[in-house]
Amino acid sequence: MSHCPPSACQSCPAHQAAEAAGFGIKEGDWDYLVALAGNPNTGKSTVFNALTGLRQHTGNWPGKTVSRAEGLFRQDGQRFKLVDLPGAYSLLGVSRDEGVTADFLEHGNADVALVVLDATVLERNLAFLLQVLNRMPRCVVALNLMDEARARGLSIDARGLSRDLGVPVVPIAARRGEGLKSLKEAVLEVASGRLECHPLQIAGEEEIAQRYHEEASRLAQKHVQAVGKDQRRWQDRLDYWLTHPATGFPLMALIMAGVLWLTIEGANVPSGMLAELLIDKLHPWLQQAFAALGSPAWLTGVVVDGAYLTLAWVVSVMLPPMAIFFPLFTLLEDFGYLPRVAFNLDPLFQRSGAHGKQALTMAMGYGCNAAGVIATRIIESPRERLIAILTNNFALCNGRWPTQILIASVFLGGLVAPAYAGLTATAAVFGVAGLGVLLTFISSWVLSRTLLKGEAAAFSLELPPFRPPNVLRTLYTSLIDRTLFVLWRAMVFAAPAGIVIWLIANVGIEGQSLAAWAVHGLDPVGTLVGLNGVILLAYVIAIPANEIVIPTVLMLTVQMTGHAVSGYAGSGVLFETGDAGVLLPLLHAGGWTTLTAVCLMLFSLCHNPCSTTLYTIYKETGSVKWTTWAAVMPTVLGFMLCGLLALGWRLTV
Amino acid sequence: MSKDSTTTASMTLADVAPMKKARIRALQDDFAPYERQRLIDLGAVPGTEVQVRGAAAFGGLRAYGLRGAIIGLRQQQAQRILVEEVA
Repeated sequence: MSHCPPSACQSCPAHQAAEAAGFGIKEGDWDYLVALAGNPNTGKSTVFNALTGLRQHTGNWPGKTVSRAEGLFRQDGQRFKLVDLPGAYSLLGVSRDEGVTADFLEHGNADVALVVLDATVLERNLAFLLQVLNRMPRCVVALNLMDEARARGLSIDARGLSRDLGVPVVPIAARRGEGLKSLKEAVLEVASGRLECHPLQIAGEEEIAQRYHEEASRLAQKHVQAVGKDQRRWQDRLDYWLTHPATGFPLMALIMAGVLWLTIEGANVPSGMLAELLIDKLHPWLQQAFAALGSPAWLTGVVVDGAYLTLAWVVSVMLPPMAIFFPLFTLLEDFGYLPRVAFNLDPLFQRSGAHGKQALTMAMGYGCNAAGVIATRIIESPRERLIAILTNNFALCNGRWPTQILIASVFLGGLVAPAYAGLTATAAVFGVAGLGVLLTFISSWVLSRTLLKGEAAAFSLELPPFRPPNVLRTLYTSLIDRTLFVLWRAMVFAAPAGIVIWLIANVGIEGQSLAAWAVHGLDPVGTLVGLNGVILLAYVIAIPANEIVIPTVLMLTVQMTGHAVSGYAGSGVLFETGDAGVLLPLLHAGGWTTLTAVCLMLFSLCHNPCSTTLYTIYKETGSVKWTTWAAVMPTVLGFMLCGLLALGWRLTV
Repeated sequence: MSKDSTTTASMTLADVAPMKKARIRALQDDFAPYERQRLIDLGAVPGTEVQVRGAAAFGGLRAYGLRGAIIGLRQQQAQRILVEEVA
């Protein structure tokens, strides 16, 4: 198709709009359409963000489970619509992502293709560019990560490269905002036709892939020169230790434990301050204010004791650990550590009959399981992708970290001398997270031998160069993108849940509240597995979001025991383990023991995913059957584990 | 057929010692089509020089320097990439 001369129809604006609409691009407030393409790990999304800022929109390609983002930028009064195509190693490739990219470059009617190259891996990146030039003559090349190339002592002749390629080549460092203005100017020049491209063409059909690579190799040798000292040698040494058979695993455990320890130690003080402010001070004040305004008791109950108090628990329990954990995790992610984790863990996944990239989707699950399930799109083989989806729940998501951290701090930290409380809590949470990894392997192994039989497919894993992250920017974006987003989601679910909790605790049948009916009904089952009726009811109420499990447990305990939470003036340190704290006396009043705490930590790891994740699983698999499996498998496992532990505990302790 | 030529003819990327270099001769025919395509896309075409880097524990992935990038491959893949040694 691309070899036909364009007919009058094809160049007609109406046709273009219709064509673009087929890709879900709406005709609208832009003058030129720009397709952004490049290899994975080239900093393409950094370029996208740097160009479009906050004017962007994310979604899926029509009818495909492939993510996409689009945004707008301006240059000299012209408006450009930038469509971020999936990262691709080639246009000849057969993956879903590469299919979308190739299809859009060929039929998307973009005015310009903006191809991002990693200046430090130029040879491989050039092979992709040459393929794009064969399909899309109007190209601008963004030679990204020039700062890194310089640090490696490389000198790249962008002008010479541009001459040989026949399209503009603009050196940039998107992280630092270098060269973006020139890049936008070049895009406008090409889009408007003021600059004509004469792209280098690779002819022939036979062994075409080999010719692309040979030409790329020739160009890279001609235009890249080592001129200075390589200041990135430390990367090779670091990579050596991080992936070494002897040190890779210990370092991985150390890094994970370090992140957890910082989160646990760091969250304590701000959590206490928030609890004191929102629960000790503001809650009684709101009760009085409502009373002074003549609010009826039920209204005060629903709004202040229901919605507000649950929100207050969510904010004081969730916000501090998230505000520490997410930025730390994002720093590791941006630095490029996660592919090394996948590298180390692959033999275990391979023996489990699973895909090595499941390590990456598992890591994503530590942030959010719904995001982890979407991330399984990087796994091409359907069988292994399903395994990754079904087992993602064993990666503790951010909604469950605070549960783990809180219960471990309050109960298990309290079992030892105060000086060791933080370390003990860290060890306990680390143990549960480690158990999650173990369960991932075991369940993958069982699935790949029963429901999802088959051979482990081969795969290749790129270990991209480390990228020293821009710390401040990472902190900022991870706070905005992740922490506030997740907190907002928790709050949206918390307020209605608070109202439900207050209502079921205060609306009764035959002199007993609905909550009491439910709790007493669930108590025998709960006790059998080391938990209690309150916890089981909380897990039912908290299906929309794991974040609200602990607040719901606390609310229900308050309602069931009549234990006062306000008025502990000046003593409202949330994670305090002694009797001076708020939580321990409250939970003791609810009949909690160390066994309850340990079983809750286990059950928090092994139970049904939240409704958002289940819906995502349904959308990604299109199957009620697998969605049901995803919910039932961990829940049954959780009941079994907790039941066995409770049995053993009661027989021995 | 002498022993020497058999060894050379059947030498695969998996046989190359760490830190040594080898030149790719061919990809065996028993690759799944998408697998072969991905390797080609990454630049594993005949004539390409590859350097063996580190290996993971438990016989897992090995890392290879390929066209300026570092790529991890499972042994079962490396065993099907025919190579010749580079001095």
